[in-house]
Amino acid sequence: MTSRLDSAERIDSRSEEPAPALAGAPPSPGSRRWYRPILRWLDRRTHVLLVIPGVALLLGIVAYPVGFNVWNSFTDRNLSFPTSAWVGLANYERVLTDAAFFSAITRTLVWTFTSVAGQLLLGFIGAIALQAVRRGQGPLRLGLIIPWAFPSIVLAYSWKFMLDPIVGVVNDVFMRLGLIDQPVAWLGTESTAMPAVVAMNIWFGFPFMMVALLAGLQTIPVEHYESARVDGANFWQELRHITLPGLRHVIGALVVLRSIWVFNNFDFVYLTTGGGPIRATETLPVYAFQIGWTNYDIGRMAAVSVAMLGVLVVIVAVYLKVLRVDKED
Amino acid sequence: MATAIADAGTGRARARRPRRRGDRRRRIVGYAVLSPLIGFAVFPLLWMAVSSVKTPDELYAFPPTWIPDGVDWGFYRRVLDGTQFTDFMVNSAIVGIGSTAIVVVMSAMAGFGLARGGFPGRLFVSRSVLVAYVFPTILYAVPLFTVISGIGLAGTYPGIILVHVAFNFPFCTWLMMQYFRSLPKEIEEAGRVDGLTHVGIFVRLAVPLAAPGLATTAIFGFINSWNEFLLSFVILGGGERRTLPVGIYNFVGSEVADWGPLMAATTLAVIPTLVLFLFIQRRITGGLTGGAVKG
Repeated sequence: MTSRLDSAERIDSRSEEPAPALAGAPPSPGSRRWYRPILRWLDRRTHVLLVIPGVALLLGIVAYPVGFNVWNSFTDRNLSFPTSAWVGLANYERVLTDAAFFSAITRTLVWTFTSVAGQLLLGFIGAIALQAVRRGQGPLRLGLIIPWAFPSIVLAYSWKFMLDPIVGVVNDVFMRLGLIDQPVAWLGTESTAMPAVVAMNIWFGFPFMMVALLAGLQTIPVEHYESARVDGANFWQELRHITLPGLRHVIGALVVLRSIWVFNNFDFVYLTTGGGPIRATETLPVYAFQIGWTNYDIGRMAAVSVAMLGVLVVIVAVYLKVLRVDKED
Repeated sequence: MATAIADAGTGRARARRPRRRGDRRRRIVGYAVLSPLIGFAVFPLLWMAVSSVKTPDELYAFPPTWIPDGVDWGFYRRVLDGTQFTDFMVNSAIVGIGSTAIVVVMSAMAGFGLARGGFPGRLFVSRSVLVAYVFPTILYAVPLFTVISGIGLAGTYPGIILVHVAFNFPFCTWLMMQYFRSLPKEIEEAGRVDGLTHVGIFVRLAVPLAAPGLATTAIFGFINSWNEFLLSFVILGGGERRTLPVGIYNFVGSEVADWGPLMAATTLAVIPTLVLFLFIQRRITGGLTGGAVKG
């Protein structure tokens, strides 16, 4: 190990003071005396000093806008006008009397719940089947999860193309199967838009669930299944009494985490339908964005954001509890 | 669906037990369940790639042809020569590389400080970093625009790089913290005994030892920046510095989308991700399921 150390940074065993390495190259002995105590004082605080730049950045780029947002929610700030005035709770009043806000909440819950449930169900079936097949687990896991890292616009547009009313392959397949008589504008019809976007989200998320659940399955001791088999348990009993209890924590963490992401998801909905047709897919993030960005009504958007934040604080509190993020090692 | 679970489960149970009668059947059932799932997972992106090499006549025909008559690069030529696609790609690369270089340094510093430091408030900071990670972008995107444009950085490289650094910082810090925690403390203690300062331990010991972690963090950081849509959309708008996702979004102007060039563009957009993954093949699965890419 010693060979890794630069001699300049090693304590001279005869000297009482360690030479700080803060300045990079060590200064010449005569000129460094006066600031050595300062450097040593700083060096003892290395850890906190290392954290400061990042924290400052988060405060500036994330926390400040959020605070600014809360402030805005009490003003009539609008991107089209340079000035703004204090309006008290008027924005909240407008939001809470807007029927679109409440239907956006309902749609967000439907979107979140059905997406996560679908992802979990398909992921669970896939994990169990992959475990059974045994062969090719590595390449399959890898191949299926890679699209997770693709830009959301690629994923959204590949689906938009498939669901296109004029050239879409989905219409072709469904017509061949006799499920529909004529082409359907999946993303342009009120009744089919939300199911179509949810289907896309399930498609996006289930491989992730599958890989995570497969990892969970592999932590269940084989002996549990063997003794169940000796006791004459059938598959359903094994599933009920061994597999599901064994996966309980994994499933809990996955559901909470995925729910937060899906709840927050703006890209998929915005890039496929833009919230339409006639608000049929307008979830809370899209609703907030339409007000703030499309209508430039920042004050009212801020009020929506604060309301959204309230819902999220509850979810995050659960999240911190479930994952116990502060547990050391 | 219930049958599918039952059958798959029977097969799954088999995997845990020594070979016995019925194994073959269970494995076949496993394949039968898995195949449609794999088909479902693979088809949309495969269809995108296949369609991008069709001729215009073929692409805009209904019903579509399942296997293209031949490979035609016409749509790619139209995207590369007839649009600003390459400009967007260069923008994305500059923003990605710039923000990644900064975020790796900052997250390595913060990750080490949080993993090894004993200062008061450390727990609060690491919790806050995690909350920032799951914090919805939509809640600060628009106010952030007013802040960034207030300091004159809207629509510029420095502005969007700054924003992407902050966007990536929480997860990268979390990742680096895990790496630093996994290093044996004894090495650092030995460094102390040998007279290294705290800074020396970080620079001379911890960072070199965490090099694989730094590489992984850099790759996921770049991918996140490459993929990011909402913040870039708000900060860059329709300007010259548009990154690839924003640029592709603007391709769709009219009611009827020009699917051919669009599919060529989206196919090209995933190539950098695939190339980067070649470098970290073994860490991809763990990194992605660990949440390295915002989903």
